[in-house]
Amino acid sequence: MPEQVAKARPEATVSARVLDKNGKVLADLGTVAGAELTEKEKAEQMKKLDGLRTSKED
Amino acid sequence: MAADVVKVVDNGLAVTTDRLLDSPAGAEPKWIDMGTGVTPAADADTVLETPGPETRVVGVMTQETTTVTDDTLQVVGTITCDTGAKDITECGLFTHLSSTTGFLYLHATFDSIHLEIGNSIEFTIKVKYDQG
Repeated sequence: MPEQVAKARPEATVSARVLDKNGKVLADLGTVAGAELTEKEKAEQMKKLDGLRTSKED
Repeated sequence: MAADVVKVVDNGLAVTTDRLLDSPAGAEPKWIDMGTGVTPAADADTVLETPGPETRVVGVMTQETTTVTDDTLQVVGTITCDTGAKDITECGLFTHLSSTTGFLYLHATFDSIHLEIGNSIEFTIKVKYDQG
Protein backbone atom coordinates (compact mmCIF):
# COMPACT_ATOMS: atom_id res chain seq x y z
CA MET A 1 0.00 0.00 0.00
CA PRO A 2 1.52 3.35 -0.96
CA GLU A 3 2.46 5.70 1.82
CA GLN A 4 -0.06 8.47 2.29
CA VAL A 5 1.42 11.94 2.70
CA ALA A 6 -0.74 14.85 3.77
CA LYS A 7 -0.02 18.12 2.06
CA ALA A 8 -0.29 21.66 3.35
CA ARG A 9 0.45 24.50 0.97
CA PRO A 10 1.28 27.96 2.29
CA GLU A 11 0.22 30.93 0.20
CA ALA A 12 1.58 34.27 1.32
CA THR A 13 0.83 37.91 0.67
CA VAL A 14 2.50 41.12 1.82
CA SER A 15 0.61 44.39 2.20
CA ALA A 16 2.17 47.75 2.96
CA ARG A 17 1.19 51.18 4.23
CA VAL A 18 3.63 54.08 4.25
CA LEU A 19 3.45 56.35 7.29
CA ASP A 20 5.08 59.68 8.07
CA LYS A 21 6.94 60.39 11.30
CA ASN A 22 3.66 61.29 13.01
CA GLY A 23 1.99 58.05 12.01
CA LYS A 24 -0.14 59.65 9.31
CA VAL A 25 -0.79 57.32 6.38
CA LEU A 26 0.96 58.68 3.28
CA ALA A 27 -0.01 55.77 1.05
CA ASP A 28 -2.01 52.60 1.56
CA LEU A 29 -0.50 50.43 -1.13
CA GLY A 30 -2.57 47.33 -0.49
CA THR A 31 -1.00 44.03 -1.44
CA VAL A 32 2.48 44.54 -2.89
CA ALA A 33 3.49 40.89 -3.23
CA GLY A 34 1.53 37.70 -3.71
CA ALA A 35 -1.73 39.07 -5.08
CA GLU A 36 -3.18 38.79 -8.54
CA LEU A 37 -4.12 42.41 -9.05
CA THR A 38 -6.27 43.60 -11.92
CA GLU A 39 -4.67 46.03 -14.36
CA LYS A 40 -6.72 48.82 -12.80
CA GLU A 41 -5.60 47.90 -9.25
CA LYS A 42 -1.97 47.67 -10.38
CA ALA A 43 -2.19 51.05 -12.10
CA GLU A 44 -3.60 52.62 -8.92
CA GLN A 45 -0.79 51.06 -6.87
CA MET A 46 1.87 52.34 -9.28
CA LYS A 47 0.36 55.82 -9.08
CA LYS A 48 0.72 55.75 -5.28
CA LEU A 49 4.32 54.49 -5.53
CA ASP A 50 5.14 57.26 -8.01
CA GLY A 51 3.61 59.75 -5.59
CA LEU A 52 5.99 58.64 -2.86
CA ARG A 53 8.97 59.02 -5.21
CA THR A 54 7.99 62.47 -6.47
CA SER A 55 7.04 63.84 -3.04
CA LYS A 56 10.73 63.87 -2.07
CA GLU A 57 11.32 66.42 -4.83
CA ASP A 58 8.64 68.82 -3.55
CA MET B 1 12.04 47.39 -10.05
CA ALA B 2 11.85 44.08 -8.20
CA ALA B 3 9.57 41.25 -9.21
CA ASP B 4 6.44 40.81 -7.15
CA VAL B 5 7.24 37.48 -5.47
CA VAL B 6 6.60 36.14 -1.98
CA LYS B 7 7.90 32.79 -0.76
CA VAL B 8 7.74 30.75 2.39
CA VAL B 9 11.34 29.65 1.86
CA ASP B 10 12.82 26.19 2.40
CA ASN B 11 13.93 27.05 5.92
CA GLY B 12 10.44 28.41 6.53
CA LEU B 13 8.99 24.97 5.88
CA ALA B 14 11.33 23.59 8.55
CA VAL B 15 10.28 26.37 10.91
CA THR B 16 6.65 25.44 10.31
CA THR B 17 7.04 21.77 11.19
CA ASP B 18 9.29 22.59 14.15
CA ARG B 19 6.67 24.91 15.61
CA LEU B 20 4.12 22.06 15.57
CA LEU B 21 6.22 20.00 17.97
CA ASP B 22 5.47 19.83 21.67
CA SER B 23 8.79 21.52 22.41
CA PRO B 24 9.93 23.47 19.35
CA ALA B 25 13.68 23.87 18.99
CA GLY B 26 13.37 27.24 17.29
CA ALA B 27 11.55 30.50 17.80
CA GLU B 28 8.46 31.86 16.10
CA PRO B 29 9.00 33.90 12.91
CA LYS B 30 7.89 37.28 14.21
CA TRP B 31 10.84 39.57 13.32
CA ILE B 32 10.37 41.75 10.24
CA ASP B 33 13.25 43.16 8.22
CA MET B 34 13.37 45.19 5.00
CA GLY B 35 15.96 45.83 2.33
CA THR B 36 16.81 47.06 -1.13
CA GLY B 37 17.68 43.87 -3.01
CA VAL B 38 15.96 43.32 -6.35
CA THR B 39 16.63 39.64 -7.09
CA PRO B 40 13.25 37.89 -6.97
CA ALA B 41 12.60 35.91 -3.80
CA ALA B 42 13.38 32.20 -4.22
CA ASP B 43 12.76 28.99 -2.29
CA ALA B 44 16.40 28.54 -1.22
CA ASP B 45 16.87 32.07 0.16
CA THR B 46 18.23 32.25 3.70
CA VAL B 47 18.71 36.04 4.06
CA LEU B 48 17.54 39.26 2.44
CA GLU B 49 19.68 40.16 -0.55
CA THR B 50 20.49 43.68 0.69
CA PRO B 51 19.13 44.27 4.19
CA GLY B 52 18.82 47.87 5.28
CA PRO B 53 20.63 49.29 8.29
CA GLU B 54 17.40 49.51 10.28
CA THR B 55 16.95 47.13 13.19
CA ARG B 56 14.45 44.32 12.73
CA VAL B 57 11.14 44.92 14.45
CA VAL B 58 8.97 42.44 16.26
CA GLY B 59 5.60 41.95 14.62
CA VAL B 60 2.27 41.15 16.20
CA MET B 61 1.32 37.57 15.35
CA THR B 62 -2.30 36.49 15.13
CA GLN B 63 -4.41 33.76 13.59
CA GLU B 64 -6.84 35.07 11.01
CA THR B 65 -9.52 33.54 8.82
CA THR B 66 -9.22 33.72 5.04
CA THR B 67 -11.21 30.69 3.85
CA VAL B 68 -11.68 28.43 6.86
CA THR B 69 -11.36 29.35 10.52
CA ASP B 70 -7.82 30.29 11.61
CA ASP B 71 -6.20 29.12 8.37
CA THR B 72 -3.95 32.19 8.15
CA LEU B 73 -0.95 33.40 10.12
CA GLN B 74 -0.73 37.20 10.15
CA VAL B 75 2.25 39.27 11.26
CA VAL B 76 2.00 43.06 11.40
CA GLY B 77 4.93 45.34 12.13
CA THR B 78 6.28 48.79 11.32
CA ILE B 79 9.87 49.62 10.40
CA THR B 80 11.05 53.22 10.36
CA CYS B 81 13.66 54.52 7.93
CA ASP B 82 16.22 56.09 10.23
CA THR B 83 19.42 56.20 8.24
CA GLY B 84 19.02 57.75 4.82
CA ALA B 85 16.23 57.85 2.27
CA LYS B 86 15.95 54.62 0.33
CA ASP B 87 13.79 52.57 -2.02
CA ILE B 88 12.57 49.42 -0.28
CA THR B 89 12.13 46.41 -2.55
CA GLU B 90 12.18 43.41 -0.20
CA CYS B 91 11.10 42.28 3.24
CA GLY B 92 11.44 39.14 5.27
CA LEU B 93 10.17 37.37 8.36
CA PHE B 94 12.83 35.95 10.64
CA THR B 95 12.89 33.87 13.80
CA HIS B 96 15.31 36.18 15.63
CA LEU B 97 16.22 39.82 16.08
CA SER B 98 19.88 39.15 15.35
CA SER B 99 20.97 38.68 11.75
CA THR B 100 23.50 36.07 12.84
CA THR B 101 21.01 33.77 14.57
CA GLY B 102 17.93 31.87 13.49
CA PHE B 103 16.21 31.43 10.16
CA LEU B 104 14.43 33.27 7.38
CA TYR B 105 10.82 32.06 7.19
CA LEU B 106 9.42 34.23 4.39
CA HIS B 107 10.97 36.46 1.73
CA ALA B 108 9.09 38.93 -0.48
CA THR B 109 10.23 41.23 -3.29
CA PHE B 110 8.11 43.99 -4.81
CA ASP B 111 8.06 47.30 -6.67
CA SER B 112 10.17 49.89 -4.87
CA ILE B 113 8.58 51.84 -2.04
CA HIS B 114 10.35 55.15 -1.48
CA LEU B 115 11.03 56.10 2.12
CA GLU B 116 12.36 59.39 3.41
CA ILE B 117 14.09 59.51 6.79
CA GLY B 118 11.49 59.29 9.54
CA ASN B 119 8.89 57.62 7.36
CA SER B 120 7.84 54.04 7.99
CA ILE B 121 6.34 51.03 6.32
CA GLU B 122 3.69 49.07 8.15
CA PHE B 123 3.91 45.55 6.74
CA THR B 124 1.03 43.09 6.99
CA ILE B 125 2.27 39.64 6.11
CA LYS B 126 -0.22 36.82 5.72
CA VAL B 127 0.47 33.13 5.22
CA LYS B 128 -2.60 31.06 4.43
CA TYR B 129 -2.45 27.28 4.65
CA ASP B 130 -4.66 24.94 2.68
CA GLN B 131 -4.64 21.25 1.86
CA GLY B 132 -2.42 21.62 -1.19
